[in-house]
Amino acid sequence: MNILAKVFENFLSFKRIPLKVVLVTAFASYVLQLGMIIMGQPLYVIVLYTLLPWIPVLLFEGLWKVEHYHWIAIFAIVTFLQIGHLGEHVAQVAQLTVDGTLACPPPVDGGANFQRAVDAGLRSASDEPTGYSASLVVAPNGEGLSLLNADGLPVTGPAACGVFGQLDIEIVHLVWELFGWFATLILLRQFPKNVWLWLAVLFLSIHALEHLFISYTFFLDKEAVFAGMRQLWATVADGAIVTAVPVGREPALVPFYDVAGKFGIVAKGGLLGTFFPEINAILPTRPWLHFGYNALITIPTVIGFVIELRRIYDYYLEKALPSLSKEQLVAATPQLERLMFHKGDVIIKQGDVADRFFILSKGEVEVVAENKDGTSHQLAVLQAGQYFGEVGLLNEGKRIATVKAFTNDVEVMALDRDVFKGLMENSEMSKEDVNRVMRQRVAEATASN
Amino acid sequence: MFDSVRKCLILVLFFTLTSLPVLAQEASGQGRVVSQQDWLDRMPIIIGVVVITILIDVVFIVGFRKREQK
Repeated sequence: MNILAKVFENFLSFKRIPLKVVLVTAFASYVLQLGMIIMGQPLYVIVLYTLLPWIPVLLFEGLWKVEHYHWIAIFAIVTFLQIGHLGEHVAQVAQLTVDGTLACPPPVDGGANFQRAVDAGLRSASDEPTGYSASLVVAPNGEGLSLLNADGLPVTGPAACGVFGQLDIEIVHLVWELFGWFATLILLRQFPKNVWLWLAVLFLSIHALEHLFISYTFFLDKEAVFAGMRQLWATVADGAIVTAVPVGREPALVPFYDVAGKFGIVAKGGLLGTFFPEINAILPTRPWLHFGYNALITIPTVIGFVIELRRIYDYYLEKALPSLSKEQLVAATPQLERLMFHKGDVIIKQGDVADRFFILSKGEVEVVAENKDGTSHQLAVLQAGQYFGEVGLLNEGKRIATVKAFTNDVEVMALDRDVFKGLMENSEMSKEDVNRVMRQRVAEATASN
Repeated sequence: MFDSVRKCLILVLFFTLTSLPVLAQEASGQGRVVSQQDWLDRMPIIIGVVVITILIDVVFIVGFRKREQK
């Protein structure tokens, strides 16, 4: 468990982004969040501004992790997005459970909704519509008018559409679902022995066919021949907080989607409920069903990811020392320390005591021999994926050459002497490979003097 | 195997798409109530969607089995 905790800490910690940038981002996020709260913005605006500063930071850090950890980093991104998606569903069912009203996407304060409020005398015609989505909804009764409580006051609660209710539309559901499904199928190709991913794919497939069918009824089955009722909303605004007030229902001819298609195959009112009316009452409504689907998808995805995280290793370590076993790569990866250098910086100096082994992961370095007469000459230029510093470590001696950053933004991954020597002692093949390179480099350095 | 799966997928897509206008013509009458028949009319779509979903899973899974064998 300690190893897993260490791997988690290593993987989740920021590697590319310096601590001061993380702190500035956290501060900016906090200031924006506070500003939006003080300005009285609705929840989705507050959350959006809180998240915005983190997007570039997470993007650059994510790219670094994809470069170093390849498919496990992509697995992490998919898992992270699925957790966020499940969060939206959790928010929705929580809103529904407490006092929310299912009016999704929430009515927007603009156009017809604004005009109905003016006509009903709920707001002045001189107002300007805010364009915000309704944060609060007055629950409608059976006639589509305001539902009143025992005190005769309207029953008001949140629009039960999650935090970003504007995204509660079929095209978003379809695209997201297909993305999650295909991304997980691609992950399954990389991690075919992960049984949790198989389980996630099973539920993703069932969820996908629900959404494919629902989307068919929404986008293609458009002929309006069914008797339906359209709920009419009027919007009033208090600053940036918009409330949607029900002002009646009107009969309307609607497509199949509106009366049954949107419930899909399993949800209450859908295919199963129509053919088996006796079970329709116990079937979950669409928000609860899709919350269930997403929980069944996200939980195995997270477990599958944690299992793969135990097998994570740095790609550049493998590239530099390909003869190491997977277990050795996994054990050594958390020991790697990332170091950055600018052009001309000295990484190791000829004559110094050797204490580290270096793997170049970005940029180029120049290997220079310093002659006794004070002159120096270039021995080699190394590229990403190559290593240096092994000669002094294996010979228990001093550095035989100086290594300088040859380009800007040189990134190296450093291993302590003890970890490096442990790897060499446990891998004869790697030791032989490194010795071969070392003999060649010593010979070149000797010849140049 | 891989080619056969791909051909099946194209055929299912073709039949699904060509059945859409037929379904649209079948729907008629003003302000109807949804019936079991309306769902039955959409069965080809539901079956098509189930088949497409299974085929996509199979294409990916067969794909990586082949890769594993290499």
